[in-house]
Amino acid sequence: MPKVYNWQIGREMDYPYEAAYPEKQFGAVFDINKCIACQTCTLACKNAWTSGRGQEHMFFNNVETKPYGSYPLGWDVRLLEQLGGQSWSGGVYTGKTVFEAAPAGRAALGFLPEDEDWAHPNHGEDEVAGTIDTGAYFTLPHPVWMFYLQRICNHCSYPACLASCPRKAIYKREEDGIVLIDQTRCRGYRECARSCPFKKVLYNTVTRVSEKCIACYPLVEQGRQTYCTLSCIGRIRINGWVNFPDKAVLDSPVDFLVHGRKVALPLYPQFGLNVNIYYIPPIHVPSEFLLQMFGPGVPNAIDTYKRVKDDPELLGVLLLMGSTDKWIEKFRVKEGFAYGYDAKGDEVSRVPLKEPIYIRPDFNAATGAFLHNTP
Amino acid sequence: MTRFSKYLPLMFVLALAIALSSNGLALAQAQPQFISAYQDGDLPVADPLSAAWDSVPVYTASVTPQSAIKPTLFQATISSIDVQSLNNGKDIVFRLVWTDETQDLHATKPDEFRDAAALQFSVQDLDAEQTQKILCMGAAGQLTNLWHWKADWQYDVDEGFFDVVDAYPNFWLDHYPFVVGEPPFRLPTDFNSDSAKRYLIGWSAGNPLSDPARVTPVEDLNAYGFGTVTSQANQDLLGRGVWQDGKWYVVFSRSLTDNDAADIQFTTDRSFSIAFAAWDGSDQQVGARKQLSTWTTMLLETKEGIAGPAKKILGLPIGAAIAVGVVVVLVILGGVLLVMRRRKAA
Ligand code: SF4
Ligand code: SF4
Repeated sequence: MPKVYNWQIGREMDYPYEAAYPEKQFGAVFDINKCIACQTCTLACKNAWTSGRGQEHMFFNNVETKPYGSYPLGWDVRLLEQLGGQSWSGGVYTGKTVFEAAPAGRAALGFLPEDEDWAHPNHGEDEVAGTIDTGAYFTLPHPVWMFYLQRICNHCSYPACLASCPRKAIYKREEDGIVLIDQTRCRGYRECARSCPFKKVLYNTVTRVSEKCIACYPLVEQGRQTYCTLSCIGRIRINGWVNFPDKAVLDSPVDFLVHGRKVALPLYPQFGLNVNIYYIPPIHVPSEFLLQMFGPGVPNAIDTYKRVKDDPELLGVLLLMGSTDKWIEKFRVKEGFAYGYDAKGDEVSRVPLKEPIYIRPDFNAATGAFLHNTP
Repeated sequence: MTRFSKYLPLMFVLALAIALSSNGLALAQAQPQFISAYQDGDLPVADPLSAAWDSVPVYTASVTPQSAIKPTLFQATISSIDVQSLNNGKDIVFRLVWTDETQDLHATKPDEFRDAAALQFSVQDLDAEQTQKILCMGAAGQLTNLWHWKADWQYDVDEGFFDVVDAYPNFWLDHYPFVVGEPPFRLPTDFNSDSAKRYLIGWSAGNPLSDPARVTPVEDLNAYGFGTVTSQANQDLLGRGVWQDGKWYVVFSRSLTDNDAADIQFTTDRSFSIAFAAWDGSDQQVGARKQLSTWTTMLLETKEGIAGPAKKILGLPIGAAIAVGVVVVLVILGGVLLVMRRRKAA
């Protein structure tokens, strides 16, 4: 089997195909700390792409509460259990990836969710990790915690969906690395749905073929960000091109967060897919849980994030998140402002690092009314 | 004259006979032959349970789990398929019968797979050795024609499209983009405009798997190697499957010849390489997860008898080979007798 280099596990690994990289790679960073689980992203996506007959159970984007939420049911814990112990030594993953742990006759380790597993998209919502004892108070990390995990397809550099399709009906686009299923060639075998660790390939119950997140490619082609990003109430998302570390472009927002400041981490890097959606881990969650989910970069990411007030560049990029529907190719921070530029170098966004403060009197003499925030 | 030399001619004839017959035996083993029997008049093309099948010879094809490419099938749930065929000089019909205790009619729920069966033909006229080399599914430049029957298609054809509202009886959704009619809505009628179809991507992309208005349970396909199965532009097949008492009975039919270059043409001047496959839906068998047979040679019976290429032994047509053999034996025998008579005389 060919060997490919997966920088997220710090080593080479087995993959059914030779490495082949697109000219550019679609990616995103989601800041978990800012998400309020309003599901606006989920509905924006659903309205755009999965409102048809046969797509009722489909959410290309979903937001689930960790530790108990999961959609489809148990997608991650079931695979973690199948994979067995996962160990790291320094920055190198010493356990097995889903490709290396593939049973004989299979391209990857995995399972096909059952019908009912798709029936509870909000299972575990807002449930905390344990019970709160009398007299408990908050410390950091929180002794009793929960957080929201925003999930779309990772448009992986080594996709398991693509690797396991015997018909080669799944392809990764040369121009932007977006992973798509050819709707004319898919025959509904669901090998992809079995193998994708994130369960982001979904079977259409009416067309009887599989579908997946398309990264809003019609928008991306026009230099715009995805619907989930541009509709996000919490402004937790940003899209951008993402590169391997040796080719990182540090004035591009996603590469800056991933490779420059290393605050944004891959989801379950040990699965071995070299994912392209990155997460700023929640600072209030105990590290055992986060290490399993985001790998050994967690302590550094949280530490850097906590010191954001002293890091104008990092602050600038975080503030550019959700500030425009345009694709930000490059950014710059100067004189108290963060600027985003498109591919032509035109300014598409400008945000102040500090919101100006206006102080108004609490009494309006013209109307004779007191101005209070409370009724 | 010694006792041994006395029997020499007899031994020689015997050895020749054994050599010839064992050669024939070996040929027969390499090419177990399956015959499409000739029958005048109408064929049971629509009725897999017709009594007309009772008198047709049965060829039992053993099938084994697919193990050449990923994903493989670990364990077979089907071990053989009984195959029969009839033709009337105009059309040909095949019947496949196999045991499957579970009747899996749908592929609607995300974890649901249907039963299926297929016939495969090598489109080109290859000899047995060449055919074995292309294994299954054909190879580059060596086209195969597949006839694929699906239980979910059969249900759709028999009972109307099996929709989400049929799979989930308590299901309710009161709006879809560009839908007409009233909830809970039906496919294809309420979704038949171009705008509404745009939200049923497989259907609007023209994928035959996604067509809710299908009219046949059998798909006419080609393949030229693993993973290349492609539905044909011209769908020329008829078929019907019925499940009864733990068995599927499925008929497939077509005219013996047609104008489609991608189709197998059942002409009388050749033999045919045919293979069989079956899928068990409740075991989540689909695609490469299947049981399949090796290639078998099929011959066509016509009004005049078994048709096909002239048979050959050691590169010679059978008649010529036998004639040569007889002449050789006679010459040797004659020679030996002559020698013996001379010795006696001496
Ligand atoms: S997340 Fe899953 S569906 Fe998306 S590219 Fe990776 S393996 Fe494929
Ligand atoms: S729209 Fe933004 S804040 Fe709301 S759930 Fe989605 S990711 Fe979280």
